[in-house]
Amino acid sequence: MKMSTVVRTTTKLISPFLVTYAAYLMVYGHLSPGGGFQAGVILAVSVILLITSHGYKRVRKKFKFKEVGIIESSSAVFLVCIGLVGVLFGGFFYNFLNGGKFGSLLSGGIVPLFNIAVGLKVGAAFTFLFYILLRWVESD
Amino acid sequence: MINAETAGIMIMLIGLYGLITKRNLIKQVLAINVLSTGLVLFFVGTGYVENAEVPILPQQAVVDPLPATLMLTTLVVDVAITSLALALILRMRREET
Amino acid sequence: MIPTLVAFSLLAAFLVTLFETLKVKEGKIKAVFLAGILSSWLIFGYVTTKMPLSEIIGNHAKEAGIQVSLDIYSFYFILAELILFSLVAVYSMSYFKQRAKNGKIYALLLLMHAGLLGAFISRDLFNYYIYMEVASVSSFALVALSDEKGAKKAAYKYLAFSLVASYLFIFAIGIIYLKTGYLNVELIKSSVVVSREINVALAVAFSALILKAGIFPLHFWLPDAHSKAPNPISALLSGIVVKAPIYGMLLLYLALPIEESLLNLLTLIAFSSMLVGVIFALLQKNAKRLLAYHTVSQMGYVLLGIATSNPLGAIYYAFAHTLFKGGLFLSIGTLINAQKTKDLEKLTYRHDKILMTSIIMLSLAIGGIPPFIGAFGKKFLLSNLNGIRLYLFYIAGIGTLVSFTKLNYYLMEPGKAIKSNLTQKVLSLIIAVLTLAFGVYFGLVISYRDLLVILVAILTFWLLQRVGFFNITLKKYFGESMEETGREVNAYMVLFSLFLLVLLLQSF
Repeated sequence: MKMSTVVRTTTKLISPFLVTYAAYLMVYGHLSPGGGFQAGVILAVSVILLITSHGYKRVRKKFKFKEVGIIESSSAVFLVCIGLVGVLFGGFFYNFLNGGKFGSLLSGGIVPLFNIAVGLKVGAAFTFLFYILLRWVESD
Repeated sequence: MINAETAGIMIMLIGLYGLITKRNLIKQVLAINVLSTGLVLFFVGTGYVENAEVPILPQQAVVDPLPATLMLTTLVVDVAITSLALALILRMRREET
Repeated sequence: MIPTLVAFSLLAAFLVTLFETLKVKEGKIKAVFLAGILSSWLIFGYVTTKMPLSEIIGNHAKEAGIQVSLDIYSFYFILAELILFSLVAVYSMSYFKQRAKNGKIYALLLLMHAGLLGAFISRDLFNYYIYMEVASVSSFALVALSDEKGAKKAAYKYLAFSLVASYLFIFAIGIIYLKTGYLNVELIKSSVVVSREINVALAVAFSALILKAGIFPLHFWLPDAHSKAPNPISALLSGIVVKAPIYGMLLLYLALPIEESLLNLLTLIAFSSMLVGVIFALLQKNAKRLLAYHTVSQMGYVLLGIATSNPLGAIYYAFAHTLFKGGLFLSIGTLINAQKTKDLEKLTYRHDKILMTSIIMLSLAIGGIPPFIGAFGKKFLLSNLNGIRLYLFYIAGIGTLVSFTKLNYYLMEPGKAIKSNLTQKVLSLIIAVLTLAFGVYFGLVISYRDLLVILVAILTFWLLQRVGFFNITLKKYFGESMEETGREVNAYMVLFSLFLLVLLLQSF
């Protein structure tokens, strides 16, 4: 069930900006409001916007089930591995990349990496969730 | 003026009322979400300090940022369980027909 | 070093999901599953040599960090969880053979394992809540995976009530944070002042944890959820997932001073749960529902330990209950799986010597007969009781033995001889032998008084059967359609609100 041409063109133009906004929230999460979970939700919204305007089957052909699953699982494995590498340096999740001036991008250590992993996982998980819930409803 | 904690408790009671009276399963899931919203409002209100500023590169006394962080985690748990409940309701419907 | 217990199980869970998406062969997925469980045993063995140990995650300061620790309060819970989970994991590898989506079940089991381990090592109230939620969400999904008729409705009811209880628990944590400014158990203990708001917070938190642990009068979700789940999942649920709220009660007991009136009310609730659970269990004809009602009764024993200011008694009894209740569910599950019926009057174990030995040993353990391990927990719990409470305790113990005499009596009748799966039988025997081994390790000896108790139980059973007590059938109040499920949730929510109101009014 797709909507009219105006709606479809507008959402096609807006979606990349949503992805940029999500990336900004992920990378600057330790300096200004934002962080992993918020960025992940906006990533998922950018795909869900396309689903509501173009129809479920067309979007699923482009963003396949298997690729979304692989992004989700591999970012989760990366997340636990960051914590385990910290054990070699001190404690679990110890911040071993410390350095940089206060207020600059590199001052967080492993926190931006953590935010990126969480953002990717949450985005992929919500997209997957909507795929599964819509599978029961849209059977045309 | 009502402060945030009292408003939070009132919204939680409204959510509990919805769970007691509504028979439709999806309305019950919505009532649980209203209860969670009231809880988040209560918790965020416990960190409020009068005439204080936002905790970004602070110069004087700040509002406590810890409750907001904890509530973020609670919201994640709430979204996950709501989606599981909705999927269960869809399955129940499909099994019945 | 302590959080790596949880980290390796989580890593194994995510790797299983990754391999499942990439369509790797099932042998490799099973290898990762077993490696995840083996790694937690190795790390546990290494860390126990340095007990008691406590650390802050990330090496931050104590006021700003999350504290995890491994001392006498956590040790028995973690040991019980590791033993039961390893045996259930091997059992489920031979139980779920007929299904195509085994990878998802293994991932959910590993997530539940990681959640429970994380809950039992934490010394921070919010961290404990998060891991308890991880374990609970995995258990909702695992209950819904069963093929039985009412499984998804049971999972939905369990979900709704557990979620409302979790929100009330966070509400209590919020009030504690407002009053003391800390979430760490040791820091709260050093800076708390008794006031009315702390009593309200304790009342709300205890009512939420009583619902999650399945203690009368908030036990209504337990018989359906535990009897309609698949057999190894029922063993895990009744064994260790209902113990996670007990650890929460232990944390609250260590952190805040509890008033006398609340302790007396909790003792009353514990005794009523013990007696009502046994009475309902005596009337059941479905084997798994009988065991689920026994869980309601045994949780009353554990709450009694906390209510009489005896935390070690609660810990030892919880450890014992995990072993024998898990073993009972696994053995009776093997019988049900082979003979394809749950009715007590049709099941039989007469032809099967291994299962007969296991079930008789486990029945003696749950009744509290030395030298099995149940008696050790009961001996600890008895040390604080006096007067009429002592008599009620013995009556509940005799009630449990009567119910299990009935179970063994029905199972002893001859019937068709169908062979059960060998792996599953051997695992049940292993748990039964473990209950005997731990009892002997703690130094228990059988005495004449225990033989007298067994005799009294058999006499009472014979008397009740003559009177016709076992022919009473209970009426079902609620139907099976979706609207009836909605009405059931409404009715029980009213009950929960009234219980919360009673606990709040006594704290003012």
